[in-house]
Amino acid sequence: MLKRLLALALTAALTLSMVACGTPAAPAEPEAEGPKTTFRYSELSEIPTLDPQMANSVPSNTAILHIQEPLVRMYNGVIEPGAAESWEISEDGLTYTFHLRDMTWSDGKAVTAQDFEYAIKRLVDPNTASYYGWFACYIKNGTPCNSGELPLEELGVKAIDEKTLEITLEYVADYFLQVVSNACYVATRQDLVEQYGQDFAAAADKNVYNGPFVVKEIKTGDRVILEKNPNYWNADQTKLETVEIIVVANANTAVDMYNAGDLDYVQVPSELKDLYADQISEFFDGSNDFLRVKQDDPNVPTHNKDLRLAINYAINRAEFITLTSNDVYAANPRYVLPQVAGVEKTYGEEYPLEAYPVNGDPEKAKEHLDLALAALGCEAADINIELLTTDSEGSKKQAEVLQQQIQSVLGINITIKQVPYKDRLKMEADHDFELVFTGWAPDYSDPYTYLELQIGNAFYNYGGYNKDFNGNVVENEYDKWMEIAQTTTDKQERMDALFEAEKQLLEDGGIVPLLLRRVLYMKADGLQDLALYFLGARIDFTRAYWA
Amino acid sequence: MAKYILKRIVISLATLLVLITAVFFLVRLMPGDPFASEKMPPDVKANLEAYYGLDKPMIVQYFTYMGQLLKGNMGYSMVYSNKTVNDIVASTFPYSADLGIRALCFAVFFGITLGIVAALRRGKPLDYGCILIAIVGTSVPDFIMGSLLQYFFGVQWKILPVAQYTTWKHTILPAIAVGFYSLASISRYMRTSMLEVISQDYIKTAKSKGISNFRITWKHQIRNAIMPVVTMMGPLVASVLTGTFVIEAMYVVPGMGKYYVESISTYDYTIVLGITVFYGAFLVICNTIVDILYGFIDPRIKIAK
Amino acid sequence: MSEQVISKEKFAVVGKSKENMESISRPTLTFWQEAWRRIKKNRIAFFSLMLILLYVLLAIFAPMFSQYGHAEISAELRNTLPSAQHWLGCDHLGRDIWTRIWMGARVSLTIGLAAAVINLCIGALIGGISGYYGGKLDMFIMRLIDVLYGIPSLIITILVMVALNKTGMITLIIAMVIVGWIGVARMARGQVLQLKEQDFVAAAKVMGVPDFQIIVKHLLPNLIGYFITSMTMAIPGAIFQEAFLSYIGLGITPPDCSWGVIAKEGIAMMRVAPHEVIVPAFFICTTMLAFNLLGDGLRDAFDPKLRGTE
Repeated sequence: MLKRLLALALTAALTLSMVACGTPAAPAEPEAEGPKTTFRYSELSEIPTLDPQMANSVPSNTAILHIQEPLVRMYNGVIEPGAAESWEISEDGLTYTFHLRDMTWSDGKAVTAQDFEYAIKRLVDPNTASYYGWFACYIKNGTPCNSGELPLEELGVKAIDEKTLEITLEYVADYFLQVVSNACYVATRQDLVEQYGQDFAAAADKNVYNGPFVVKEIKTGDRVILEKNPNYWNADQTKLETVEIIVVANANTAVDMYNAGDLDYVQVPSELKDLYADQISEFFDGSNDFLRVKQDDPNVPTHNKDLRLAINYAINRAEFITLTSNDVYAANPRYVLPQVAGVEKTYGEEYPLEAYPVNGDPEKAKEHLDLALAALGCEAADINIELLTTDSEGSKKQAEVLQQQIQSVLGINITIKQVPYKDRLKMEADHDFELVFTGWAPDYSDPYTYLELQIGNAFYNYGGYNKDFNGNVVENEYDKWMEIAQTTTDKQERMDALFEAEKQLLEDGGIVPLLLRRVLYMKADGLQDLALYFLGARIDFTRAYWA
Repeated sequence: MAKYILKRIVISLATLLVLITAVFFLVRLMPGDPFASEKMPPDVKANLEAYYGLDKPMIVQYFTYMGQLLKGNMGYSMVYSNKTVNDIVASTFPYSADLGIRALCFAVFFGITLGIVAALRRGKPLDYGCILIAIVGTSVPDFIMGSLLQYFFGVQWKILPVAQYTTWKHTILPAIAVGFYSLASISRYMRTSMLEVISQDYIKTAKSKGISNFRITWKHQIRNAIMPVVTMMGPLVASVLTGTFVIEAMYVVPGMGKYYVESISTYDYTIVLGITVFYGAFLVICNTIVDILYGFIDPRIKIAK
Repeated sequence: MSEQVISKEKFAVVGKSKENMESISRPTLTFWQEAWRRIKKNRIAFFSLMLILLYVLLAIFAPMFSQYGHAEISAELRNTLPSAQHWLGCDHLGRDIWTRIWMGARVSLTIGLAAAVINLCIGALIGGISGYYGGKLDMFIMRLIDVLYGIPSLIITILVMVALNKTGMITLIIAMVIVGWIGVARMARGQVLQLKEQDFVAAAKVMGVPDFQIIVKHLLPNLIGYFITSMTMAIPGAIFQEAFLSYIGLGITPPDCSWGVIAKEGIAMMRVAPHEVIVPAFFICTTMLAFNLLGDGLRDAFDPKLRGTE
């Protein structure tokens, strides 16, 4: 009987190994002579899709911008011609005319203005259900077309002829060229979308490419392999032959793989900073984290401006950064990401601001607390505020430090509530929070991308800044400054108005600014011209080469 | 026997149907929103809900889903927008299964051996050595075990590759990390069970009849003692083969574990359901096999009553 | 061959007495007295019990007498090694690990024990019933278990949190018990299937013992060995599950902590400050060691089959 059992077990094992057979693939690592032409880097999460209009994450955008050519390319923050050789902007700033160069898709067909027109309409089409459908709000009728109120024909995009594309805007947006440099604005082939339906771009052969690279293989859950596109219009500039984007969900493993020579570029977790101090470089990735504060609910004590200011002054941002990120992140005493463009230089250089001292100011915090307690008519110990945050290790650390700092200075109670990331987003959007740890990455390089969120009736004004308890916007300074910024044509005056608005927001304690995220990374010796920037493709290897 | 097996299969299918129905409604009861995103105006959300049919009444969604499922179509993921659950399972299950089989072989072989040795040498240093291994195995969780193995064998001593799942050498560390807990628990159960058997009368009878020690151990004790281990094998096989999130992430194994865990916290309904269906089917099959095995191994049990 | 003769004088007639005829020469011991006596004799098990008691006492008193709070952070002290002031060093936020360990022990020991014991009781009962009655009831219970096992436990956990609408130890234990009993039930059922065919069950049935009593009094005590094994395995499982659940917002909210949480925080610092993971791992492992060895002793002490086999 035991023999029979063994036989059974063996058969079962064999059947299963048949299923599993072919698993261990031979490593594609032929050590070629001559200069290296392969580049391997890791992403913490899988690339969700390579369909340009369905993309909604940085890994997707990065990969798509390497396999498709946008109208204009942003390289290290500078706009350069891409699929459009040249372009004109009308006097009133509302009409953009792009002149396309002669270039082909990887199947030999010419890239036409109609391909771009189709792509942008597809982005807006409610039936596409793109996460980035709202990103066409700058284009005339973009928002009503996306909600299905207006037919797509009303959208301000038109192919004049095969090589000319005209886009009409809803309002003046100096940053519109940055907008079209995004992945969701690249050309897309109507015939292929119709042929493959939802499978479009799901596999290497279910799409065609016109960028510096083409997709060679998509291995689900594992990696995406790119190959040089010999038919790219600027193919001479592409030096890499193969690129592997490997999913490595564990940040420590990625570092180990880099050290073992399995990766050429890796992001280093802040805990390991001291171990690799001599090899590490860093860049700001554009993430700006802050606390949103509930202000339009009589049951949440933070409707009191002095309490909000007390919290802002109680936080020792420098210590917070040291404890939570080993000084990798930068303490941020203001709202707008300082790296975005000002009039001539960056906004941060032109308009420096330290609204709250980075080391905190317990004296001032207590002054404001006393005022708040008088207004609220209660003791500090009676105040209990819930801090909502995400369930990651890092968020927990940050919440614990904030809790301790605020409690020890003010003597009020902070309770921490951790929920999964998507729950936090939902609760935020449902206005179901008191204090929430959140952030905003810029869509384009302009202070407006941050400041528009806090306009009284803006959708993203989740905290209810400048709103009364009934949810109505009260008359306020902030909205006035924003109004000026939106109507003026003078660049300096516009920027000054935006700065005034930012100062007003911080004087009101409308948010609690915290930090700017900096990414630590290591790259292999000899790897040159890898461009890292806080917008668009965070990592740009179109021009990278091995020295 | 054939009738019993047939009956068992019908019941298994019914179980599966209940399972799918339960999960279908339970995931929708969860508080999250699959499309929650940093930048999500209401129009865009409405578009997405219409696209995935979430704006329809739940019962309609259910029958649509079951209809598709009968055709073998488990639908498109809500996060990986152009991947189907079928694709994801087809390309990731082989990796999880491969790792799982290696881990199981390791765990079952060493687990049973250690359990037997410990029971036969009860109270001797060898027994305590086995206890120590079992305790380390059960009280050091996989995320620590995996990190330690990776750090020492991969990074410090450079004996084995750090990560990725390509050659057989790459499979050793993850297989040990996945299998260690099972090894420990199998060895503990095996030891307990052996000790029970050793004191039974039929062993004394066998001894008094002058049967050799080896034969007693092999023919009488192990066969009788292995039952509880077989019982725990059903769920163990299913859970090990369908992937382990932490170890797969740590060793860059492109397996199913990631989708199983991730899809729940991202509310990717189709993946949660698809993988549950797959996992549930697997579990039901494993348990059916175990039930049938019961009858084979233990003559005292009559299942087909 | 020399003949040995035992002289008759060495023997004397004791005589008969009615009182002594039926008396029992050894003192009667109740079940518990007997068990306690056997535990005391088993030195390893006794030592394990003492260690567990020590940990329990430290968990109760150590945080009270510590001069540091378990949530007190300090930028200067982060990742510092053990010293005279901080016996076990400080963690990544500069908190005193000694204090945190014993604060964490309160949570971990309570949850580990409570979850394991409740799982055991529910699982043994349901498994016993299922195995004893067999037939349709057994089939139904086993399929129900298949369904419960097939539902991802994370979904159940999240739903429990939503249903109870509060976090804390009770919620945590309920969430763990809802899926936790399944393994024990399967195990118990498998064993009962085997045992119920044995003669002592038949004897009990013939004597008219009610079914429920047969299950609880005659069948389940025979499984004590498995139960203790599964309990000693379940405690570390519960400790780490708690750590995982605390991360998705169910259970212990920061700055409170548990051993699982401390270990999980520590593993991130393994390369830089290994003591942050070694310390919690040491306490978890020694606790488990003690539970296992004690479990072995208890098994010997309680198992009816091993009585009198010394």
